[in-house]
Amino acid sequence: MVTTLSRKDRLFTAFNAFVGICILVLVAYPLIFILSASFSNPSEVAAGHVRLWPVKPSLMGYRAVFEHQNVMKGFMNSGIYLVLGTLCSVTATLFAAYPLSRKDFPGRKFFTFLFTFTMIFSGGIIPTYLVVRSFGLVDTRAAMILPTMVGVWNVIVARTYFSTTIPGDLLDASRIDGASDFLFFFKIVLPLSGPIVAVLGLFYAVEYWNSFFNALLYLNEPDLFPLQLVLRNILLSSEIQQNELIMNVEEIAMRQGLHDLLKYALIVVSSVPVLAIYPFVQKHFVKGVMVGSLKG
Amino acid sequence: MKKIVHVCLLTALLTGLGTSAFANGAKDRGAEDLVLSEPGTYPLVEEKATLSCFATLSGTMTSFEYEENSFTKVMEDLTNVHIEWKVATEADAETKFNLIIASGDYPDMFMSPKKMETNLTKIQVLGDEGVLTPLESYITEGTNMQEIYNRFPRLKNILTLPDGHIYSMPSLTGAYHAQAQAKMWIYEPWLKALGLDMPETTAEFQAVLRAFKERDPNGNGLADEIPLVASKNNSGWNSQIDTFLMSSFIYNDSSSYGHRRMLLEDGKVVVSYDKPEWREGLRYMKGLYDEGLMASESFTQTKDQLKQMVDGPSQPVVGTVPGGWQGSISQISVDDNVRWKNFVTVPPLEGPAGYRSTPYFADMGLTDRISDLLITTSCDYPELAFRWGDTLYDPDVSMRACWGVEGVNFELLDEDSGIMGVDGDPAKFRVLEQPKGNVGWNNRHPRYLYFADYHSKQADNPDRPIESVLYAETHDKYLPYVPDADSILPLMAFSPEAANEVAELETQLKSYVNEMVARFVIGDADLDADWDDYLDELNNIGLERYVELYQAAVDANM
Repeated sequence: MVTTLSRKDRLFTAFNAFVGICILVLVAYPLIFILSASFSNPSEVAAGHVRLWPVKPSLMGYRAVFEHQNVMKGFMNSGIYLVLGTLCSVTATLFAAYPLSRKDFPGRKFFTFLFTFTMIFSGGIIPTYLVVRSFGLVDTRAAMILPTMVGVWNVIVARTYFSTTIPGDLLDASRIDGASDFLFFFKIVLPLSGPIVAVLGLFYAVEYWNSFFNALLYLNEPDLFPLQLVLRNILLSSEIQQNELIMNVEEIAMRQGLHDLLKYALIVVSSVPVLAIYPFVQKHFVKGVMVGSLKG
Repeated sequence: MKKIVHVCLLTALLTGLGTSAFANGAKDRGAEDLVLSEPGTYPLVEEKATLSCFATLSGTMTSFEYEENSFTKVMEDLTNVHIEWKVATEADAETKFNLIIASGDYPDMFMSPKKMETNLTKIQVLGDEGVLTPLESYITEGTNMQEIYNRFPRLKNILTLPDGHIYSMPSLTGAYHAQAQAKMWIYEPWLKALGLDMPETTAEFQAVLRAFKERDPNGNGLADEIPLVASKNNSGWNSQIDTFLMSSFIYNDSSSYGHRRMLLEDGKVVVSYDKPEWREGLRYMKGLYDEGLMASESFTQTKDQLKQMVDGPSQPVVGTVPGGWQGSISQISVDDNVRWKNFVTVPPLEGPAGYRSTPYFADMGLTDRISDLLITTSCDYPELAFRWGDTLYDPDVSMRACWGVEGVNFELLDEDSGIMGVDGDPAKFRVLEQPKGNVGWNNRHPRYLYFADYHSKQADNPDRPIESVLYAETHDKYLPYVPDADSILPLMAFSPEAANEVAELETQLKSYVNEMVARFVIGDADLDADWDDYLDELNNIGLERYVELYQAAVDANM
């Protein structure tokens, strides 16, 4: 269909395109820079010669990343936390959200209040640590998953999804056919909830992949550290303390070198998994969140 | 759905199996007495004992475990003490340390807790709160610690806190060159190209900068030379603009001392930044700035940007840069970067009034790391823990921990090897291959490698002559101008209340003074019209009270 646009409309479209391109450049440049820097010779990066494209392309950074023992361990650990954690979290969130979406659930208001209360008030880091410790979770993989397994915001999104997309008539109909609540949930509700499961899955997966704070608090065993903690350490610990400088200059130089070498390759490597799942979930994403956002 | 059920079961299983060494360890152990060996003999105990220790993972190291870290193995085989490690990554070690203190769930020992290196007040607070065990009763004749105290009685005085106890085990390290850190580096080929002498006074220095700007020393026909550039505050080791320059007018200690800019004059605490000499120093710097000799980036750029400025261009453009060592001004880890080798230091300059000084770290090697091992009150065998830490002061153990395996990472040299050390005398040892990874504990532990015994006695790397250059420059050009050691404030403990007040005032004063240095120099504030306002503001912040608190602490320590 060919439509003729008025001069004003064309001007408007051109302006939009211009602003859009500006934003694109602003957003894309740092990403391209990191990618280019990760494939460049570290000394060129350090000297500031990398502007847009790789300079003296090399795979040194990536080789160093995969040779670093703790990076590989961290990768595996993060994978474990992501898979196990996402499964647990999505399951628990659905189980919590569904009853809250049922108008005939006794104490629904009360439980919803309990959940939302924790969004605003929390015990603080130290009391939480003491609780986790008294459950014997310190230095276990479970400490990465259990303490922050259910996100209340996600429960609310899921609850809203259930109450807006699953008609009450469906429940009545299945009851007439003799279905229990459990049967109804597993056979009817879940199959209709693809988008919300995908969205929750992505939210949680990204959260687990990026999380380092639980690990920082509850883990003392380097074998259990997730990638993000290892990464933080490599990126931040080479910010050399002033009073350390005087000890061993070769050692400092080595650390600086490691930092420069690993920095960009690590950022790329650690972002790839999340970037890789995103396109598969994205189509559900818009739908799921939009649906959830309608009506309270 | 089956999958989900399985996963839930698995999680429950993991939870059930999880045991916390922290929770169980301390309570179950009996408090029966251990029989310790005589000081200086090993193993420390006949039957294997276990202690828990908080430690920091840094650098290329990935593990403290017996099986994986070869130095852990050396220590355990020597002492017969097994360590349960509680490891924090260096980036987050401070948070974790505070969490452990706050939760009341201490391991037996804290090894090199971060941000505690020189904090006597924090140690005093932890002692008062009953977190730390006093150590003085374990420091007996025959222990390495006692030997250290016999050699450096001053260190014992510093570590004995106002309550009469000693709570921390220090490291003796340091480096000769770090006694005078506020260095200025000049690109020597330019001096030669223009036929100039090394400047000795502020006026000569200004003339050299002017020549760099106007006479095209890099010979590319462009006026692209930057005569003088620095990095902003809190970025870079002694790379700030004022540290070196101001020392020609009045005493101005560097960032390593927390920018206190403070001196003792006949036992009286005096700060520099409210004196007329300070104003003259600013006037001089403003002169450099107005003439275009000092790059305006000096007040805003980070240390990395500074290094890029020096290293980046294909031809050298930077003439002079302040910095504590070559690595402050250039990316020395890059092998094919050689430009930094052409930088030499400018000696402290004589000011118009004849003043010539440089910031001085009088207790170098003694007080740069004073809390590398702390023993807690939840430790059932504090004496064993002390002796374990004391083992690390054994010269051979210290060498093994820091420089790696003899014959692999370093070799000991004879007097007549003909190889010279950093200090110009025959070297004691030479590094063969830098210890990497799990060969040691990456300098996060107590050690007795006093710089005059070790750091200065190593053979320098001929490809990267960093240490010997630093030693010579410091010895020849800087140390002759340091102030009297008695006029330098020693490390002191404040009472907790005073400590809070001092810290608050210090932060405010420091940031105001730094801000005003920049504003006066770039002309945003006028040195004549606004000087009185500046003094008033200092007093509003509480300069008087601040000096008074320091004076009280000094008097108490005398």
